[in-house]
Amino acid sequence: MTRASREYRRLPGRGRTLLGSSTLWLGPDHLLGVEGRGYSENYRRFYYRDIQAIVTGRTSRWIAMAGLFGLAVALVACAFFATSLELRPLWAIPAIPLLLLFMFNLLYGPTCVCRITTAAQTVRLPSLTRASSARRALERIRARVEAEQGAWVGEELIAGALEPVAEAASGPALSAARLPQPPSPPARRDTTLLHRVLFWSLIADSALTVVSLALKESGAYVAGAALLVIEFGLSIAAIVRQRRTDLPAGIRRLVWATLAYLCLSVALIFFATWIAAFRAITIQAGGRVSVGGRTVVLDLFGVLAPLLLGTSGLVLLHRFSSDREEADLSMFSRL
Amino acid sequence: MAFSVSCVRCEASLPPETWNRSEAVCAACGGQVQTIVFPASARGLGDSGSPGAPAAEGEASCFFHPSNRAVISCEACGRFVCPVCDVEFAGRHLCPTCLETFKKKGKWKNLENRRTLYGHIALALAIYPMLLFYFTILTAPIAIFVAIRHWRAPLSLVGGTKLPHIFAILIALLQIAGWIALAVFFFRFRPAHPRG
Repeated sequence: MTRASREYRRLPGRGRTLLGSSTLWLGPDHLLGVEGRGYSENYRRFYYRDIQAIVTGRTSRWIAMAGLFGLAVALVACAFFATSLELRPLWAIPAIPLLLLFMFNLLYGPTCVCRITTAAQTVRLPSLTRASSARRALERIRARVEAEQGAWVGEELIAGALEPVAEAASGPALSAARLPQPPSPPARRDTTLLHRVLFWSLIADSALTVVSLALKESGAYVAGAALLVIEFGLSIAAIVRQRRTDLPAGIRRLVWATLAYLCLSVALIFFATWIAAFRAITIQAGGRVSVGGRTVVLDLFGVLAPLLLGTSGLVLLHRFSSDREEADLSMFSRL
Repeated sequence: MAFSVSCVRCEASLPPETWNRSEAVCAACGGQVQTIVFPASARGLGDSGSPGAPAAEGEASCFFHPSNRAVISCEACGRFVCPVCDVEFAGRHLCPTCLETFKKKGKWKNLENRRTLYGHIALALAIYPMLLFYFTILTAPIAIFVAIRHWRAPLSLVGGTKLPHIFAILIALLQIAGWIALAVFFFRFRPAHPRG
């Protein structure tokens, strides 16, 4: 390891542009913003003693991106089902990167904008674009800056008594962040309608898979594909809607699991098509193909997974609704 | 002037009640914001901006502002400077001229705001032309030249290595060896022309 890399410690987060990427590094007495431009690097330093404020705000860019990638995946899926069997493997080429982009965008979580203020300037930190990485980075930056400047004591911050107190001078200072936090904004009351529709559509999906396996008609396959696209839309809408609501964590996680199942289903469909194409080519070339139990496993997965997700979701929703009604009734009786 | 911070989404001013909370809501746009305010916000531009007292009879005056009383001497050149010209940087007090000189000469790493990554340039010269192989006859020697010429050039501030230089030289050498082998093959084993 070089001396320079020991001197600077990389912070979480990376911002990407067409020209390059930007990162943030913790230095001995300053924060270093590095903007890579392919064959050169531009540096911007923020000395810990000069940093006055850091403001972070969540944005809804990730929802727009999810919608965009989801729409692209849905369009590719439609094109996949609309083309002949021989040409279907070709659709996997755009589908796989789109599906990965879609999944990673959701996994990285909400997007944010972060700005740093010194006496001389206020600039955006382009590397902190996701709320999760920004939170981790800010914890480390805050520790360094407070070690340099000291921390605010008690009500000084709000009262405007702008006298920094060094931790060393007065023992462990009570940072404003460590004060009792005000109550967070009340969670929105969710109607659970969207979640109900999603879980019922999963059960319908399971039933449709059974029908299509029994009848082996193209109409059932087309209906299954259409339902898959609808489920994608419903699960994304449910993920967006369930933020800051009173829905329990179990139901929220189940929606994420549904989305993971849908992504896996699309990947398996493309995979199965590739296998079928490979088999067809091998048979045409005079080779022998072993027929294993892979198709049966996939069919079982297609029937059981949505059934399990849908029924557990509906059970959880039913429990949640009855608990909420009981709580409402007890509150009214107390009033 | 009182210190204020604005929302990153709508630019509305965020009241002090929302500062240093784990999560707050902007009253103007309703977006979730987190504002961390540090004690430096009370300092403003600091003391360095004030010109200080005028120089009295017998007092040392600033080299750059003869009417201002000098408060300190530059640690690099020894010139007396007033608070306006005193630049405190990395724990040292310098005059603007010395600061500019240091920056130009690249003597002080903390003053650098740009570095060229010659290793990456050499590597790009070695790799990308392989898409159209014929160009490598020109670009391979250029890649070697760039890698060797800038071998001692400073690397990235945040942990650069010499590996791009080394790979560029190796790939370019292989390309040159390939061209030599092709030339030898062409001249030694070319088909003989039928004679009369």
